Amino acid sequence: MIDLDKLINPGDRPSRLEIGQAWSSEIDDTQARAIRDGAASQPASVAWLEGLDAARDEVAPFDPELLRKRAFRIREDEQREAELEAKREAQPRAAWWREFLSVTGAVAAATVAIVVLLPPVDRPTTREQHVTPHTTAGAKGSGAIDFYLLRDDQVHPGSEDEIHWAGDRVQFSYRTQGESTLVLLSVDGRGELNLYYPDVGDDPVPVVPGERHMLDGSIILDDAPDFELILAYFGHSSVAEVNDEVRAILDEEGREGLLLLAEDYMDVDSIFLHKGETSPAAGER
Amino acid sequence: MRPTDAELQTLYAQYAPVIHRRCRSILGNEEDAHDAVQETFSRVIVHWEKFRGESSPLTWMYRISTNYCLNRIRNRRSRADKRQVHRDEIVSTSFERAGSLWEDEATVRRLLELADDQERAIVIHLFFDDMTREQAARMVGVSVPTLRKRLNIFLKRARKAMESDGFALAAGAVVVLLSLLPLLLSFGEAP
Repeated sequence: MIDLDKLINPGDRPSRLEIGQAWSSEIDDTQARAIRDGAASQPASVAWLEGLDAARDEVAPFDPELLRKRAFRIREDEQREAELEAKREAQPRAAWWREFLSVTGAVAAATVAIVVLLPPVDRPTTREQHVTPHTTAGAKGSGAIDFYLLRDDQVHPGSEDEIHWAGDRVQFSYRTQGESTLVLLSVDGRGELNLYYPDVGDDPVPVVPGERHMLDGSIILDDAPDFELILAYFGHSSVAEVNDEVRAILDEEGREGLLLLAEDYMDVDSIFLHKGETSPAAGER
Repeated sequence: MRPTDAELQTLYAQYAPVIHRRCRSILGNEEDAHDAVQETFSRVIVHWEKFRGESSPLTWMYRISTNYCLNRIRNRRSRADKRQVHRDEIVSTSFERAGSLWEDEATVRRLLELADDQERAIVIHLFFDDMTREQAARMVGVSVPTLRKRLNIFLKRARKAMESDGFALAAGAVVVLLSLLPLLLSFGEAP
């Protein structure tokens, strides 16, 4: 059973940071002695102090070359990130909104056209009801995603038809009718699942039914090869449920299974991004 | 201005075991702990000028390694096989059990994945770094009342997840979580 008084340090013992400062001789001898004395009566603090002694033998040997190589990569990443951020901030807001409004207008017009032209259809609303999977392909309505792409200073509506590269920045928008939650994740060419919305927790992010909305934030494509398949699940109750389904389909049917899933069911939409091996502008990035 | 190998080696001998030990405690495995040490010292090189101006280099390294740990936890969350990973962790023996304030650190790591970054940082400083509320609040850059609220939110969410989730949480952790709620209520009364 836990001793509750010891769960949060009330100030009667040094923190592990202070113990570390004493152990590493960062502080003077008098202070260090006081901290060691304070730790002496606390079994957990004593164990931590002993653990630091043991860690001398457990830590990897000092390798300056390795550290400098990694530092070089960190510096490059930080510079690239700063440049992208500067470019994003330098984007003229009006141009962005003109793009956004033109797409929104086109989508609204297309929606009106579909509503006028198509006869009413009894569409399935859940996976269980969906008995003829391929008949609704192209007539999805429950949830849809699109994206904008920031590349080489330019923001434009994204397209599945073009090749994408590591470093491209992507921001998503969605449109849904009746669904109030979204889980957005991707499967990349390495077969890895990456969760974007929500970024933490098991609860899907809330979304607003109706007109198109932008999702906050953006993602930067990494160097995973071949493709990035973005999947948007609308109306699901948990991230774990979505994760399990995606993993199961990926294992059994590969990416084609996921593409079919997105085609067949109204509560799932996808974006398939082809990834290029080497960006023509790689030298500039 | 860059550090010489000799300067780096001195710092490494002085601080690497502390960072290694701490990150192993938070992340739960040797591999991630080693990587955290490499990342922290690489960032010391990158930000050498700033680092040299710090009054407490270890506190600066704590912040860097906290960010690393938060990233690792966030990335784990998005792995498809995380549930299996965590089942494995929960049934395995925690290497720090004897000296830990927690019955099962692996369970705490699992709960950390339910939190946002600020909540995670608070939990890390309070329970893995054994800081007081005031120290943890300073490290995170929030007031003590804010820290209390954020921790309360985290615990409520964690309790909800533990009630509804099917994974095998250790019973002791449930006791810890539920027991923490009355402790939180006494936060405001503490001197």
